[in-house]
Amino acid sequence: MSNDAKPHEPQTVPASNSRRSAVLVPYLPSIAIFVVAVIYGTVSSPYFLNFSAILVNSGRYVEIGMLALGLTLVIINGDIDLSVASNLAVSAATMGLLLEGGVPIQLAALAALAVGMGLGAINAVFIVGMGLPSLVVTLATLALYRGLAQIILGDHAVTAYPEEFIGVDQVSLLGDIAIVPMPLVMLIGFALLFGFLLSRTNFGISCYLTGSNQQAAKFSGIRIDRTRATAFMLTGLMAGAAAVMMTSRLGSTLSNVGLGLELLAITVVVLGGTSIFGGRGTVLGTIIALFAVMAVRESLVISNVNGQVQDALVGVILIVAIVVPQTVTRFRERVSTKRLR
Amino acid sequence: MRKVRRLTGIVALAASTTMILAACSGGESSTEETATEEAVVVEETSAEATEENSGEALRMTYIPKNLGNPYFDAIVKGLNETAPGLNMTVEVVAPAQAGATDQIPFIDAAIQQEVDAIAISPNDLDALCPSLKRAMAAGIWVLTVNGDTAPDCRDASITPVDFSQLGKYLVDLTAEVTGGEGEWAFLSATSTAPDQNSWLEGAAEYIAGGSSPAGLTLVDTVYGDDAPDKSSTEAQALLTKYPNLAAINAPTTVGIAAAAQVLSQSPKKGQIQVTGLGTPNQMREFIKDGTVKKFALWDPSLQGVIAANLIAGLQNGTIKAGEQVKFDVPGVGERTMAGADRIIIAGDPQEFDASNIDDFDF
Amino acid sequence: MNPLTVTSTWRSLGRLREAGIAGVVVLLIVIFGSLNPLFLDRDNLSSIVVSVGILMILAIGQMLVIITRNIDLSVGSVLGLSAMVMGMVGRELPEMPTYLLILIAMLVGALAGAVNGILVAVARVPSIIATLGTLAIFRGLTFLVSNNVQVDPEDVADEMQDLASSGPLGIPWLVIFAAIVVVLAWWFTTRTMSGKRLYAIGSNPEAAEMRGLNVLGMTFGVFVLMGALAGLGGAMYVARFATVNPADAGLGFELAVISAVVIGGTNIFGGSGTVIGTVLGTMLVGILSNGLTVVGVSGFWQRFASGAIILIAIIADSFVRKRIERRQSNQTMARVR
Repeated sequence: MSNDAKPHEPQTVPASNSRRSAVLVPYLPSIAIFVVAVIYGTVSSPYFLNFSAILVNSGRYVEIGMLALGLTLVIINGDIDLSVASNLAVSAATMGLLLEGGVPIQLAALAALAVGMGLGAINAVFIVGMGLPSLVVTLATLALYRGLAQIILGDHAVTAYPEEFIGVDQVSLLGDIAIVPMPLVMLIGFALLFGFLLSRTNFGISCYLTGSNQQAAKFSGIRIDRTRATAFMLTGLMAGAAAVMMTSRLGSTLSNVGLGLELLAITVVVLGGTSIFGGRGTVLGTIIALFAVMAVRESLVISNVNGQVQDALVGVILIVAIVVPQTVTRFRERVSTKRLR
Repeated sequence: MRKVRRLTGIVALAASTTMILAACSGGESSTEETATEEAVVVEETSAEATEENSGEALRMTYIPKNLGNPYFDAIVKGLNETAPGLNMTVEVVAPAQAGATDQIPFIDAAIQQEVDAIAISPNDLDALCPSLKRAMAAGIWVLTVNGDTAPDCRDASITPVDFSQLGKYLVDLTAEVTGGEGEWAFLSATSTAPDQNSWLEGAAEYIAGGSSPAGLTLVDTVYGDDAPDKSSTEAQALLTKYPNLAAINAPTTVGIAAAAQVLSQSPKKGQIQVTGLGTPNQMREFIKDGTVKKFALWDPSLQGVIAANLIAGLQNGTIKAGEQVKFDVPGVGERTMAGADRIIIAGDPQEFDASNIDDFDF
Repeated sequence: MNPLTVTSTWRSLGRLREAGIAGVVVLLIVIFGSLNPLFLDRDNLSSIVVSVGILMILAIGQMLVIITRNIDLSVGSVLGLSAMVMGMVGRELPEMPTYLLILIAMLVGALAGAVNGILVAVARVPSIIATLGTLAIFRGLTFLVSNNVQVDPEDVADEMQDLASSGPLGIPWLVIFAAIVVVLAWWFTTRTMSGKRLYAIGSNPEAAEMRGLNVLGMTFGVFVLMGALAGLGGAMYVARFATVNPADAGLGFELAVISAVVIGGTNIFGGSGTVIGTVLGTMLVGILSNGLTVVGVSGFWQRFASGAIILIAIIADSFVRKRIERRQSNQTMARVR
């Protein structure tokens, strides 16, 4: 999304002594949703507060989280990537195909990462190299890559995965002492890495600047092309990693995995306070939002709520989470400008 | 610097809180058991079950492919009618889309809810296995209804009719409506659906075997993906590709309705026959306007009745899961859990035509 | 830079592009026709035209939304919701006249569009987020409203079903409705002030606001219009398929609709786009899909092909646009010297 193409955005005007609390504002919606969801879950089902069970089920959310981490960078840059889930499918399909061809699982998994990054690079060629709008390009590659995954795998599913590889989502780091699922640890690791990238490196600063005002950033000497391309490639890499994790969790590879995952990942990113127009957002916000979405879905599914209604509620939450802070900010703005007079 | 510190601090806090809570929580710790563990031995489970079952209602969760499908509603009807009499409650939940992995969260939730049994109409052969095996390891009965997964992921499977014979049945059905002569094509669902593929293979074997009606020629198999618009497009394309087409056989409720709709609005109505598997309510209009002479299905609710009785029997020990077990279903008759894969056939196909179309409601 | 030069250059660029798409459409027809002569068979062509008809109605609405620099991802769900409500009303009240049922569908669609409009215009939620949310919300509503029960062909009046297959002079009413929508949209975008204002809002919303244009009102209006058109599409869906399943109806339509609009030359950043381009883009998508099926290309490749076509279209766009820009800056440089 080009930066000179932004409709009017309300600016935050921090009042004198609320600067500290202003930092927390982007996370408030997610935290509030998390709390409400947990309360709802506890009230509506006696089985909800079973933390070990929830952690056991957390594998699929970790996959979403991995996609969301990459997407956070892309969206902060002012771009968008709708093709992440299809990217995941191709990476998984490649891994499966290689495995069937006799390649050892470790190499096949590495290949999945490489393929993921490669597909991200292809996106970058079109978007950064040719200057095409990211929304349309990734809409096209969403279909292109999904078709590719189906072409690679055809009808059949690959199931011949070695025992040691399957079920990584069930592995607990501290065994019986405390249930710490491996995927969650990996997610936190990735989150720390991405958080570091975003807040402590030049790359991170470039992301924010590129997202806020591309022209100004270019004139300031920021290598916006490199920044944007790196973000797409990192996202592709995370899609490949998520593919490996998903395959381990399911024990099989099919061509229609991850359908619709990209929308959920984008929901998580936006819910976490990242502006869809770019220039604002944090990894911490994305992670908190991920937990919020997890709490919502788990509390709903344990209360026997159907898929469509779950999706609809996530939609409501997304919209409310955007509308409420914006309204509050605009109200505060009006109040403080009144005070200035 | 402050930001990083805050970030690390919050993450550490969250991680440690989670760990503490997890350590403190009672709950079933089925995490150490890997997905490859074998199904629980029958003897142990039924003994355990009779201990626990002190008059409390049995809890079963049924997970169809998705909701809003009249076919699965009929299965649910069968379950709901039988369950109260067996001191059983049934919870029906389903995902929004019929994707391969969309049912997994619901299986996991059922495990978390410590239900007694899970019945599922699976969307995939293998992807559900890790969760289903965890369910079995937790002492939950797992039954597949109307479709199957890999055999070691469930205790038993109920198929509506003998799937191994259904391919042949479909070919013969085509012969009946065309008078035994002509070119015809299959309009299937998705190319990855295991039950569809087993029927198509059965049909191919029957045709290759040489005992199928000689005048019939199967010219094509196309896939409508269980989507109305894709199925319509494929049906229309068949008419264009094969000008001498005599029949379309769609063994899927979405496909047959789409093909029938296309033909009923086309000048070739009545010339090209539409048949296959469909629900009476959806097809009634087409029987009445002459587009479809005859189609078939079976009574899906029968599977629900059998499923409820089977679970009740397994739980209180009157039925033992095994390779060749006969059991009686009140009001239905005797059924057999057959073969190493423990498959139960619910009944026989039912044909629908103008003479009986009004007698059914599903 | 002489503004007149810019406008006329853009216009001739636009016409060149439209000619290009038309050329591709003709080429595809020729290719598919030669691969299977029955592709040109009357039945097949009318089937293409009917399926394109529904897409066309939706694409026109989406084009208007995109021109204002917004997007509507919820079209499929709105179509499904209106189709379901109309189907249910038709089932309960079989004597209700067809035209009234269609109006009901359009009303439901317009209401849904109004929700989108309020979110985007009043609450200032970015349209991509708002419609991402309403995509799921309207689908959930369809479910609740239908109580999980689908609408069957016997519930749909024959008169309604005939709309998709018969009409005056052998042209199905569905196609006529689509044509009316196209003509009205063409007139609106080229011959009315409001239409031109729509383009202004999309090109530069801040400037439009400052000039006193009612950005809020027009944005709201364009979403309501999109909703009403999606409702009409829903009614046509019922006419064509005669089955409305709460989970399937309209699922995934947004991809095809947006592809058609983009291929037709509408800029995703707003401010430009023609009805003729959208019509041609829709025809391209429809013919490609039908043609690939008739020729026997497997479904897997079709997904791949639709993605490729979008890429080709926007690459071609960008290529031509850059050449124009270069030529214009050369002209300016020449004049400055």
